[in-house]
Amino acid sequence: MLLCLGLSYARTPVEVRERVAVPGKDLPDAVKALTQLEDVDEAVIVSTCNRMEIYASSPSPSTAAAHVDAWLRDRFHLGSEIEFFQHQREDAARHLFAVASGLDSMVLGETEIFGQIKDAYAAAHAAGTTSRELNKLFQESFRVGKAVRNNTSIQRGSTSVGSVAVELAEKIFGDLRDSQVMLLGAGDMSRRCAQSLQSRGAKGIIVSNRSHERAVELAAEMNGTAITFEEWPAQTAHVDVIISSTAAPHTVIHPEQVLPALRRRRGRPLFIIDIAVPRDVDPLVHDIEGVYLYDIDALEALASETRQRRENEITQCLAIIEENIGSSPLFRPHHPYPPQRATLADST
Amino acid sequence: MSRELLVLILAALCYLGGFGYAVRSLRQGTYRPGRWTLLIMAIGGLCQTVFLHWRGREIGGCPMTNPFELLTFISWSIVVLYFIIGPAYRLSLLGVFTSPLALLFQIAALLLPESLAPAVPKSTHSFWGELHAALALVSYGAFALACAAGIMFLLQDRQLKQHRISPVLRQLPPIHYLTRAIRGLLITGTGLLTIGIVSAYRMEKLPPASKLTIVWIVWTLYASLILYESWRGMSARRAAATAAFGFLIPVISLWFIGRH
Repeated sequence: MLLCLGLSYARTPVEVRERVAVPGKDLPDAVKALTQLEDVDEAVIVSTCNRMEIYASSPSPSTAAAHVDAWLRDRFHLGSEIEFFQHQREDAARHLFAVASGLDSMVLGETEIFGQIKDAYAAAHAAGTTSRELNKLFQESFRVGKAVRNNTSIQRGSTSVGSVAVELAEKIFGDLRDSQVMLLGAGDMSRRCAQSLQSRGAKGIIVSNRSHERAVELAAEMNGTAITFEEWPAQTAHVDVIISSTAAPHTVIHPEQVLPALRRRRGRPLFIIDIAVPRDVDPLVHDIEGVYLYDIDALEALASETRQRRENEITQCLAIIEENIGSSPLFRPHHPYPPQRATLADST
Repeated sequence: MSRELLVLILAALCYLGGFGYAVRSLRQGTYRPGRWTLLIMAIGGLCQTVFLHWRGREIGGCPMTNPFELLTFISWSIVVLYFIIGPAYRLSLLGVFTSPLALLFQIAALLLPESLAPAVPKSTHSFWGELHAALALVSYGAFALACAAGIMFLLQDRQLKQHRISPVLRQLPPIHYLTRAIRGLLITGTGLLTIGIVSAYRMEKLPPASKLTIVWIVWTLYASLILYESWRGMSARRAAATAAFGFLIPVISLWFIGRH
């Protein structure tokens, strides 16, 4: 019978999570040690920055849970104040399916966890600590994770300001490998935003800042080019994305600077991200054809909308999980999974 | 019911199915342009090819002797161009907008009384005449696709300007790709129409002046758009709007040519 025991970001602070993290190189020994415990036949450890969970197969889950609990406290020197959540039988499977589907993640619907579970299972499988029950459970979880992602919108859209900016840039230009980015101001947020675009292929970064030394510094960090603040209007015809975050108390980008550049762009759109407060870009710029101006509120509103849409998908995701629990030869329907997201991680 | 009508109805059903599937999955946010979409479109196109082949053999030339055949030929051209142009511009989703266009032309053709009339063999053959008609109709197919791409552009531009990204918008191709596709389709269509018009002047007997005038009007619209865009520059939005709404002129011209 199945057992799941562990802790996650929902109830456990990072100070504790970092103590119980099991690095990839230590996984084989750790899972082997678990299967040495009494009543533990099979074991997989899923250890990420947000969770550390042990999945085990045992003829007696309650006894095994006590042994695993004691092993954890002993290995990581944890006191009795640290509580592990625990699921057994179908609930353990429900929990894994929810985790694999991104329903239990800090960023709802994120996909990275799916790969992390695959890696964790592969490590345990290679160490020889999985057999019939956990093999079946994890294969099912991969299938369910895919089904949830393919049949719902749980992973669609962007949930942070930076990722919304990247999504919009891709919506406008497609492949960013042909795109040039210009940073006005050398703030941390604009740097992160530019790095996100760079990670998606944006080929050239131009940095312009009132303090030229700071521009040179940031350009060097990002493999870009620094220009003086007086030079940026001339570059508008050549760049595709402008990220503005100067500390100016007034607007610095005006329609009369953008219009002449647009004529030379021959129909190629211009995407301007204004993350400065007070705003750097005159809102009238957005009225120019071919220019898409997004300020921090517009980006945050889109991110928030996506987060809300993902929340709305939870019921449908849970229904898919229930359907698979019910149809799987490994499990029989038990009580339904709690329909509130918070309870996914909090239930013990 | 004749076998010719049957294959055309099958083609229309394919386009309807493809469109229905795309709309449903777009609304659900789960659209994935895949083999099934392409297969459905390909089966529809194949049915029309079979019809055009049968009809061509019966009449002994290009089957463009009445409005029913003209509309079917355009519908077929749209699908063929979709398969050629779509991959070139990475616009797989163009199929979502192509299938209703192809369906519209095919249904319109089937509703015409000429669809029930038997094929009338041609008494005379003119290579230049058939080349003129075929190229003109294929060019209309290119303009129809440019119209579809233009509509997609306008929908996205509107949403991006409103700071919204609907689930449908997320799945549409990037507007820069659409801009390139519109330009490419307009140039392709105008080029084909130019050759079609030149072919008309190589015919032993010129087509009626009224028909030629109409074709010249269509050519002037698109050629001016391309020239203006190349020389003076034009915002992508205006080019898209012209491609989308300008397609009304070829549609009206078809009605006129079909009736005369």
